[in-house]
Amino acid sequence: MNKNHFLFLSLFGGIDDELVIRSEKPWQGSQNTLALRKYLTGAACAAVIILLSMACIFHSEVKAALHKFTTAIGEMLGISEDISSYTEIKNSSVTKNGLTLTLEEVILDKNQLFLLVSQKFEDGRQIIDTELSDHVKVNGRKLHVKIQHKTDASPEAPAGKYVLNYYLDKDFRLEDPVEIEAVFTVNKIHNMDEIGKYRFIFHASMEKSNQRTAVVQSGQVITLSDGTPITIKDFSFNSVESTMTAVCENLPPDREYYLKGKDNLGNQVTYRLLSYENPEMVFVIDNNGYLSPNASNVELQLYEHSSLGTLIDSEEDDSFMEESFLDENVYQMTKIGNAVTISLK
Amino acid sequence: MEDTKIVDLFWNRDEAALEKASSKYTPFCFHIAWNILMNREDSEECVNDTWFAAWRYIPPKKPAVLSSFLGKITRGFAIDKLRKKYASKRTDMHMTSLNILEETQMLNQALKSPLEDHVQEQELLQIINEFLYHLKEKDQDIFIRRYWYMDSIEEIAKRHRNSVSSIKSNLFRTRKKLRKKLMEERYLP
Repeated sequence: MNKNHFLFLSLFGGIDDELVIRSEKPWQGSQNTLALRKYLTGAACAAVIILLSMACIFHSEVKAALHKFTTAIGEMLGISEDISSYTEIKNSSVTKNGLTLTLEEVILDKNQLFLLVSQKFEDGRQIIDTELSDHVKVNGRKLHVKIQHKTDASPEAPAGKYVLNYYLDKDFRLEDPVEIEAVFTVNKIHNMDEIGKYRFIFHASMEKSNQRTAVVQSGQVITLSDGTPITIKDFSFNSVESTMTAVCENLPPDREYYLKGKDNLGNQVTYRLLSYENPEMVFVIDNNGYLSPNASNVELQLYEHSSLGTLIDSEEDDSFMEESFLDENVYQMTKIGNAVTISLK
Repeated sequence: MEDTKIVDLFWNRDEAALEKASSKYTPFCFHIAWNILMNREDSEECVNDTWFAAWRYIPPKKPAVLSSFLGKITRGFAIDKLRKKYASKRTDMHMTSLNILEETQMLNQALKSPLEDHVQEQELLQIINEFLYHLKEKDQDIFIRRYWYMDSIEEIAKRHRNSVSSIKSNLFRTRKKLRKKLMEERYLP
């Protein structure tokens, strides 16, 4: 008998009563979930991992237009616009230890980089759950901030697909040609054994992306409850993504900020604060929102959320910071100031 | 009957304590044992043993939370049975238990060194408790449902309205963090 197999389970039986009792109760969170994530500060050497089934991603209005998806990235992100012109089809594969990783699609945008990666086990090999970690460089500079979407297994992709989404901060002023190096490490989830490292090097173009991205200046001010002003600087958007920058001196810590509203065509949008480096703020659109490129204006209301508890300082390794899903009904968000209308023309 | 009154019955060596505890907590304790063993006979045996163990422990112990106290006893018996099944390579171990054993390998390794170095179990337990209290509520619940209550991944996914792969990844990350924490304790005095 190998007692060592039960060391943890035996010891874990003795955890505090309080913890046991908490989990005995029905789970109260995660109903009508709104994804809340601590924004990144300072060096922002962290990333957000979102693991969602496809159905969770789709915006309700987008569902109606499923047949219109023109690219796999568009489908995973729920973008019904034709974004094929944004998308470079790579279909470049690397096989190691019975697992093939294929870099299927790439979108390099003014503010963001999207990579679609699928994995396929060799015929006859058992499909196992994996974790993908990444090391991506653009023109030699490592990208840190990412949102990772993963699909559940499906008949088309039995081992799942990933969309990796990186934000290119203001220091990334890219000029063609852009060289991207992506090294992915795949581990087995159950015991962390490494299956292999998969390296892809390719080029992408910024030229078209820059032409397609509209940037509007704003200057509108939203005042926080303590009188601190947030000045919206600029707003960029295209069919793939939308980003807003603002400035705010000494933003109160330990709170989340969201801008929620709709464009003049009725599409609902939510922008979340992705990063704050005093005084620079960057808001990015959440994937469950959609801003039409044909909209002429968008009305946004700032919300503050302060009930985040211990998630803020979670000790993470150097590769990620996790998302948190809180119940909007339990942790009320507070409206801040009046709604602002931003002209997109 | 209120828990405090049941505890008083144990404390006063009144055998009615066994009946009262049994009638109130059999479903709770059976569920714990069942999740670990998936065998009716074995689970019932664990639950029956629980009442008599409680009789031996109280007094001198006076549990503040009776449900948790009894649940821990049942879980301990069930883990012992599982260990014996595993040792005798019994084929009736169900997949959830086998998967959990595989998942917790990395944590067993992390615990092995401190225990060999005579770090007291209580100290390690304190580290685990602190680690759990610092987790996000959701991560804490997922981790405890999996490794204390030994729920299947599917049950946890349903509880949290998340996908199965999301729960697996969540557990993976929490295990990794706990392992890191425990590894740091290898050099405890």
